[in-house]
Amino acid sequence: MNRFLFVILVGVLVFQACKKDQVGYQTTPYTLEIPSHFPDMPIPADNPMTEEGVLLGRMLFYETQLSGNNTISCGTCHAPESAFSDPNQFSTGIDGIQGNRNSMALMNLGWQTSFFWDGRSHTLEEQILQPVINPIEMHQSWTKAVGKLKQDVNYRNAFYRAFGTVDFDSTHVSKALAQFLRTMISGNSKYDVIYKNVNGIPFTAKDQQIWNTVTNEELAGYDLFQSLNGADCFHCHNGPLMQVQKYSNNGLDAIFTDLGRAVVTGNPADNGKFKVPSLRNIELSAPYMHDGRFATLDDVIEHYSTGIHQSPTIDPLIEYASQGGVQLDPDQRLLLKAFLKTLTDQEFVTNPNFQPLNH
Amino acid sequence: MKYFILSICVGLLVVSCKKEKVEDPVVTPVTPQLKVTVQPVFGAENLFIDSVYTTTDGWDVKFTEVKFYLTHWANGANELIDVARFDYTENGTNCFQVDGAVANYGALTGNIGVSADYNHNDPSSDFSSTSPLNIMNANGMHWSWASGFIFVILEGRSDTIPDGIPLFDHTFTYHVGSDTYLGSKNFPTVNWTVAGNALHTAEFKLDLKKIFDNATNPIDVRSEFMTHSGGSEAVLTQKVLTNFLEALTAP
Repeated sequence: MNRFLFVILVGVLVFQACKKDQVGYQTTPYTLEIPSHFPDMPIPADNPMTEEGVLLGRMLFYETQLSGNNTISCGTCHAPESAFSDPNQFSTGIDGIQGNRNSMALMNLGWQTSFFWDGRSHTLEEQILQPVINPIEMHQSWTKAVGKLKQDVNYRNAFYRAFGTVDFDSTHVSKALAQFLRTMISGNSKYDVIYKNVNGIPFTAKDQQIWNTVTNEELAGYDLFQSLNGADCFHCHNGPLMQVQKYSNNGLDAIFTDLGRAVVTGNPADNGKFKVPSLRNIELSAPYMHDGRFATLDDVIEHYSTGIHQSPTIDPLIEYASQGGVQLDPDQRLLLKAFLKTLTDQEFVTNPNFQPLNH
Repeated sequence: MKYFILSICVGLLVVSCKKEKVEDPVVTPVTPQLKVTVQPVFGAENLFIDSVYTTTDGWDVKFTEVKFYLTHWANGANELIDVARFDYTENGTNCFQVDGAVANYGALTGNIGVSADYNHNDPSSDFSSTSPLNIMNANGMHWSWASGFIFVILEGRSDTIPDGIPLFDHTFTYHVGSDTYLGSKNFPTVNWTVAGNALHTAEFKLDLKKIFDNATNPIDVRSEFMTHSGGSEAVLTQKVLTNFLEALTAP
């Protein structure tokens, strides 16, 4: 009997010894630093923010292996020194081909309800999947891109730490990048303090310091920006995000060479409409408009002053279209430009957390 | 010892083969719900965004945006909803759906617009992320410069040149807001329709022809095409509000 029990005991011990070790994976929740005058950021339930995911996303944002010939990354066309946009009118892909739309400046993406100039993606995770496989951008299949990353032990470890798997795929890449992009919050410009002042939101000591530097010209420019009989910009550019979530034909053309939103919807009523962008960091993100046709802020102001073109889908909020624009005089243009520069958030564009890891 | 082990094994076998006791199903009480929809129409026909309609004056118009807030809709002490936002382009005819019993809401009174108790709050931090008043959901219906919400938005294009060429190169923009222009509406009777096991719906109608064609407050889209409720726009703002209130009817 003792021998019988001994055999059982040895068997149990051998079984335990042979059991595969289970390596634990534990993520750390990431706390977003959301400015007090911003709304809560909606986070998808299937992609919670983690320290590990954000770090991986930051690695991937500057990873050139995501492109077919290992030459460009997301950060190439959304460069930190250009407020995460491209100073060129059109970005050039790995095959030397240019698109027909300007790279959008990246900031506050966690609050967007659509992506791309034509809004063809509804989520950040969905948007991220497109540039890698686009023939005129990074031009590489996701299978190849992920295959390259899997060769790198640093990525295998990083994916494991973020998602608990080394068998990652494009959806994991997309989730990590989305987490990183959601941390890129711009809400610390002079405009933010002006906004708080107008809306009776208490100042912090830092806000007060910034407020003390706001000039009379900038405030006069703000008044013009908000004025119905002035620049009349606020209908489409307002609130903490400095934009509304809609598509608009802002009178760039009478005849459209790019149908914009209508390419997605097939609805002629959407001809010539594009996503209204935020004006944050606009001083740093030239050129302007969906096709980068305007090189300077002066060009943009000129467009809205006297360059509006009528068309069947023009936004009714371009209220002075019938007279070609809002007709700002030279002094008003200078004031408006001074205000537009208050939207620059130096802390955001130089934030070390948004730079390449080896920066 | 062998018999002992054998008896344990047999016992385990019996337990494992025992038929699981079936629990009595838990009956969850069904909460009655009420759904309000608003169907924009232009006279006798349903209105579609970007479709052409002709006013009594003979001008062709297209609507591009039809939005409004309603607050504190109640029947006496029974509040049906504190705030809702209607956006025809974004949400179609859906206005809101809440818990409620038909018997309590045979009549309704409430505001068209955002009542003063909400109108001047911070739209970012004072309302939950699901509130229609949160800046993320207001989406263009908050005036940061006036520290308040836009109560009613009607936007579109018009063709007022009778040459047969559908240019639609004129626009109209009616933005009603500020406490002065908070509208009040009384529906003495609301007829609810059974729409499911515990759901009743009421389809309100919003006749946008009445914005322009009103016996006492006609609006000529050629000359009265823009208001943002500013001081110099009081007459047109009041006309738009008055006509809007008349245009909204209960089933």
